[in-house]
Amino acid sequence: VAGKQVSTKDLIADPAVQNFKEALKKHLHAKLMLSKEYRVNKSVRPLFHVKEQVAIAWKAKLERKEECAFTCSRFLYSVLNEKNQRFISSVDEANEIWLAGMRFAEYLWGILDNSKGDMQIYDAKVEELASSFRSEFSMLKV
Amino acid sequence: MMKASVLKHPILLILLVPILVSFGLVIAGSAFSIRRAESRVIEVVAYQFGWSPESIRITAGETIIFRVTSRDVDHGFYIDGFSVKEDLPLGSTVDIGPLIFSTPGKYKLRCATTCGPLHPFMVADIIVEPDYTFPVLSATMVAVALGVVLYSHREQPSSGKLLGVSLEKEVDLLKLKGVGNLLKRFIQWRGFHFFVVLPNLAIFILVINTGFFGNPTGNLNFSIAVVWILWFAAVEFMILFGSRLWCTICPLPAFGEWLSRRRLYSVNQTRKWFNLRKTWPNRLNNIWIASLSFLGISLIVPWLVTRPVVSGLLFITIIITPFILHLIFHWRRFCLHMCPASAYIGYHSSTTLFAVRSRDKSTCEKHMAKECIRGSPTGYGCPWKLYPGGNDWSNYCGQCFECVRSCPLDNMTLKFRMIGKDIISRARTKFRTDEAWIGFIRFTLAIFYEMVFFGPYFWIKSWGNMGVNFGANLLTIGLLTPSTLGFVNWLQWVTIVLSVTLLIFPSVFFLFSLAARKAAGEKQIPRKQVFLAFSYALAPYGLLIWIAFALSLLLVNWAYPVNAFMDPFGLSWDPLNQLGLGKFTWSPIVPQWLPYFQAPVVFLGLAFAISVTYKISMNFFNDQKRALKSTSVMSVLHILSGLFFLWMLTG
Repeated sequence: VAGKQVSTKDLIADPAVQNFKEALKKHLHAKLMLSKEYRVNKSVRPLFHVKEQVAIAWKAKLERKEECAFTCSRFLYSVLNEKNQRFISSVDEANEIWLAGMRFAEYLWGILDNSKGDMQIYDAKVEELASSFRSEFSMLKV
Repeated sequence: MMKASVLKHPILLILLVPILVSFGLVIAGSAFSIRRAESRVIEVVAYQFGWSPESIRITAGETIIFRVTSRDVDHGFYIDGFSVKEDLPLGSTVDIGPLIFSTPGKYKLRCATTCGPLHPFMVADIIVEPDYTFPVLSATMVAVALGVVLYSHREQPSSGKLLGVSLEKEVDLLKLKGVGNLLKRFIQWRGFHFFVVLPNLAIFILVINTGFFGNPTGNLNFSIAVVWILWFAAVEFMILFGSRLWCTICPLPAFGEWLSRRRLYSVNQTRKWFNLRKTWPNRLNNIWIASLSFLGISLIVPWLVTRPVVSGLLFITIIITPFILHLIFHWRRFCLHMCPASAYIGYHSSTTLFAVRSRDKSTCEKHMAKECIRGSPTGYGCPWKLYPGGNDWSNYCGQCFECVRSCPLDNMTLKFRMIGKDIISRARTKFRTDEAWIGFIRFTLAIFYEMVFFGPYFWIKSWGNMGVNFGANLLTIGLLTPSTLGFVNWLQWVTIVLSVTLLIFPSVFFLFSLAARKAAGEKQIPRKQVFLAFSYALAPYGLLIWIAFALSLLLVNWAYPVNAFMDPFGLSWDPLNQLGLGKFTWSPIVPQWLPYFQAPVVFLGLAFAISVTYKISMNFFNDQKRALKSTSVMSVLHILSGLFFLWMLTG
């Protein structure tokens, strides 16, 4: 489905996106002790890191599964970085983040596959997701 | 306190006795010798690169005058433990003495003036009789062996101890109070590897340059003095205390790795490696090439350690090869399968005090991302193609610490632990011929190296040396062309070394393992498995024997590498002279005590070999009586091997 002309609503409703958003909410947004504005911005930043990493790997024609896995690590480190942490203490939490990142990275990879690497489409879709995340996160109580 | 500790750990008693006996022997020897008034004149001839006679026998208490003639070039006269150092100009005859030899034992007569490439090996034996050092040390060795066999038998098999020390106790170095955090930060810093390799790379480039363009005489040349004296000896201690610490700082794979990663130290996030990513041939997925390269290097060791240009050629080859391999294959294929040093450093790393391990294996098993294999934004995946989180075998862990950097769970650490844990579990599950043979090669070569470097036997040095009396750099490389006779002699040396290392010793070991299997009444377990498993006992034994050899190398020749740093090209530079700190005069440190430092090291090696053999036997036969029987048989071989080495030192 990814990459086809789908509505924003469908895009956001995709399980991979939902999972990713929940992971961000649970492991980052809920743990940031900042004002609402900073919290929302910081919570969405890993999304762009994942986007960037998938694009780099896709353009370099690297192996999908391996690179999506690496992207997940980048996602995890991005989450930790936003929390000013170097390590994660719980392996279950690490696995949860990793799984959410994996599905989402593959989803983004699919967008690039289907759009044949059209970066405009790719950027636009990720931006749509980011705005949706931002608006949802800003509704959450601090 | 001491008494309590000895009683608590009787093994301390078993190991301390030999040292006390050795030292008591020397003191008693000098006390009981009878001084004789009359002097005896002994005629000695010095020639490149030996003495005639090779072995001089003196009765304790005798007063000796050496009448020494130098036959071919200028030589020098030095006896371990005597403050005598005389020049022997070409053609002259010099009377040296009277010297009173009151203490029985074996002394080395050495050349004290650089006389050519094999100068450091120009050694003769002076045996002061009655020399009971060897018989007493031999008896002590047998006593140690018996003590360890019985102690191992007495120790509860389920205690998880080796020589009374728990194999489970480990110190997490990154959690050590005070230094742990600092060490952790340093290792996790991405520039760490670059920072430790860079100065070493600079030295390596200097080594290659001085090999080609420096002083053609070995001991005056930086490449020889630094690599074949300092590094060669220091690496043995590095293995014992730091496992593959040398691999951490080794500059050989640096160029290839930097190019293939397209980064000097940061992590390349694009992950597009600059290499062809070809698959390494499966049949070469072992350490045979590496082991045979080490053996091959040893075949030309008299040239290698005395002719700078030969060392230069070797070093340029071993820096170009990994570079090329990095362009073709992913991972550190050179280090894993081809590096001659890596073969033995890795082999002994399984029996050292240091290891890179996960804190909790179950966490690693549960962790899905496995960044230690795959890499993360903070570290590359293991370039040694390991799964570091589950690794419990240090042979193939190059200690680059990428796993410590890449793990987001902070579950990788550096551990200090008891020797032997890895091999006992390895010998239960893996039966690798290549690992067994590097053990045989290393063990037997220690004896050959001791013979060539410090033995009095001129013929074996001459054969290995192809009878060439010249040193050479790139400009004078033609001087190294051997005569037909020299080449034929070298082939004899090659035949001896190859047959002993590859065939004779392994065959003898196999026969002993068969006897051990029979003694245990075992018929089910394949012979090959028993043979290969028992061979792991040579890992700690071989390492400690090499450490004994390294002690002589360092304590006798320490001045050469120190001076080489001041004058790398051997051009008679003396930069510190202005400050009143000139070069160091060659003067061995307590050479007369060397065997008494070396013997306990060999005893310790024997103790580990026997104790590991017992544990391996227990794994196989699961019965203490059967384990005792098979260990006793294998111990005979270990004792005989140890006695042979001891005889080289003191006999």
